[in-house]
Amino acid sequence: MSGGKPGAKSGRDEWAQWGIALVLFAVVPLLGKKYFVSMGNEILVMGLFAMGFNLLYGVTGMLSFGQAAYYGVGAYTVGLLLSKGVAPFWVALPATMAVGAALALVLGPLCIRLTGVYFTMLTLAFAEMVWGIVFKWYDFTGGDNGIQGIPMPEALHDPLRYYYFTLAVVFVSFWLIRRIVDSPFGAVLQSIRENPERAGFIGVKVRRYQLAAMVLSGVFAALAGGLFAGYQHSIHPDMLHWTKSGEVILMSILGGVSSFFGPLMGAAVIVFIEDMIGKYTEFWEIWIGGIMLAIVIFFPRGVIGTSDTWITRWRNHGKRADTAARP
Amino acid sequence: MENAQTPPPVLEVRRLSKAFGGLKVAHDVSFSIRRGELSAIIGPNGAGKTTLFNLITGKLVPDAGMVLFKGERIDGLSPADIARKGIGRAFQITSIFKERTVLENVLISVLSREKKTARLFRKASGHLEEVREAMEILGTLSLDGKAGEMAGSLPHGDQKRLDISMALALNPELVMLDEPMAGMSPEERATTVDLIRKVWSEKALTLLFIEHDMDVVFGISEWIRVLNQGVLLAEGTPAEISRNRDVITAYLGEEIVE
Repeated sequence: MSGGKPGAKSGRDEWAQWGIALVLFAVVPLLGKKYFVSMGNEILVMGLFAMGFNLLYGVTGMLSFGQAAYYGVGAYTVGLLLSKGVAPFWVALPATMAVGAALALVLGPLCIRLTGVYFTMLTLAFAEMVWGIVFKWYDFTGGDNGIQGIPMPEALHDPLRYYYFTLAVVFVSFWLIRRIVDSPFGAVLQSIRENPERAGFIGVKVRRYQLAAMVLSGVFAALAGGLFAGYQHSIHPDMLHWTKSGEVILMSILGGVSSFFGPLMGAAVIVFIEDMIGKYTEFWEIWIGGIMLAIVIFFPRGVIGTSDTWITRWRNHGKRADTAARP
Repeated sequence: MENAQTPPPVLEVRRLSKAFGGLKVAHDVSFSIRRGELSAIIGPNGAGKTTLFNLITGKLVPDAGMVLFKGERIDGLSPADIARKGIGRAFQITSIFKERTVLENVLISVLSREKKTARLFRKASGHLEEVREAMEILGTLSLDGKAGEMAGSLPHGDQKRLDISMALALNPELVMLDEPMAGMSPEERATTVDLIRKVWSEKALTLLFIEHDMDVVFGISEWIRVLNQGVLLAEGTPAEISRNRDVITAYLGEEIVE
């Protein structure tokens, strides 16, 4: 199904972009620098987090400023289950998705009572509460000490191996998300973004679908958090902080919310800038600000969104004469 | 005034009232609609016609009175629930999904009616039976040739017809059209009137519409209701309404009577 923001270009183009990305992500670590592996991992994890966010924002039109809660809760699910020896990683990682969904089922109904900026403020408020609990509950979460030395299974000890594991999880997640967006369910989510009132008048129970979008978004955010915990072997309440929620918004908008490749690229840009510029100056935020400014001015629909528009325009160049002739 | 045998009404509005602050936008309105009727609501601007539609379709909750659809109370239900019971509505200000194709607009409506919108993994466009049905509906409103175009890029008249198609895709028993011809050229009006009448008779619909074009109203309606300042001023056949003294003073003016 084409049309709507996340399908404004044909799905085939997005699959092609992902094909190229898959090859790049698969090859780059083989160049031998450890540093590439850790950066690649972070890009993939943040990319997954951003894709989940985009299911909510780009697809359904709900701007959540509280996605870090799900991301952090996913990380703590892995951290706690493993460090307390309750469950192995292979159980803990899928469990993040259940926990993310459960949290969305609790917070979602409270947030979707309001729309627009009020919805956004509620998501922020509840996420801050979750952060507060994690930050203060020393006996259970370790408070601001976080959790260190998360024991990982032998098979995933090697960072390179874990990197490829992450790569597989992220690409399977992308495939799932893409399927969801193309499904009748996804079509309804997009119709809600465009015209929620009309959606109601054709029999769609709008709030139920908004809640479902929050649940799915929470599932992928929590999965991303779980993957991060597994890679870093340590976690910290900062993962739930509102700045993390802001970061994922930034990544999605930077890359462009009209596809899911956009958020992944946005994640790549931000992680890369943080890492590269962070090496030379501690004022890397200023650089991010400047680069953001340039992107907003020159790529109003995000890096991927705008370049897609250029490509379409270039392709249609020959056809434009007929289109212009039409009234 | 009534038929000899009276089948139960499709829609019954009983003593419906609604006020915005001190302004009574609907005051003690009662009427019922026979199955299969093609009827119009007319009245000056601000008479409360669209408000009445909003009260019936769940966008507004009445202050007093009730709305019954096939004998069952529907006032207070959500628009989604009312749509699912079988009332389809098109809007005065066109309400479509502009960033989706014409086909997708209608397809979503068909899938919604079939309660298949919770499907997560099968492609929407792979629901061939539903796609076929959506194309058929577009065909009845002469939009099938534009199925692949972005809804927002269509000319105004086509967008109005798409809005109607989305309502029809619900297979509703009652269709409510709010100024379906507003803003159309005279030629578009003529074709749209024909299409509406054709759909009404072919699908054995009950159809209620709001319209300002008196040629259309008196040309195709079997029954006309006149609203003025939130009050049902009169109802009757076109012949009766055109002779009604109150209606003439309040709305029609003298020139309609020869």
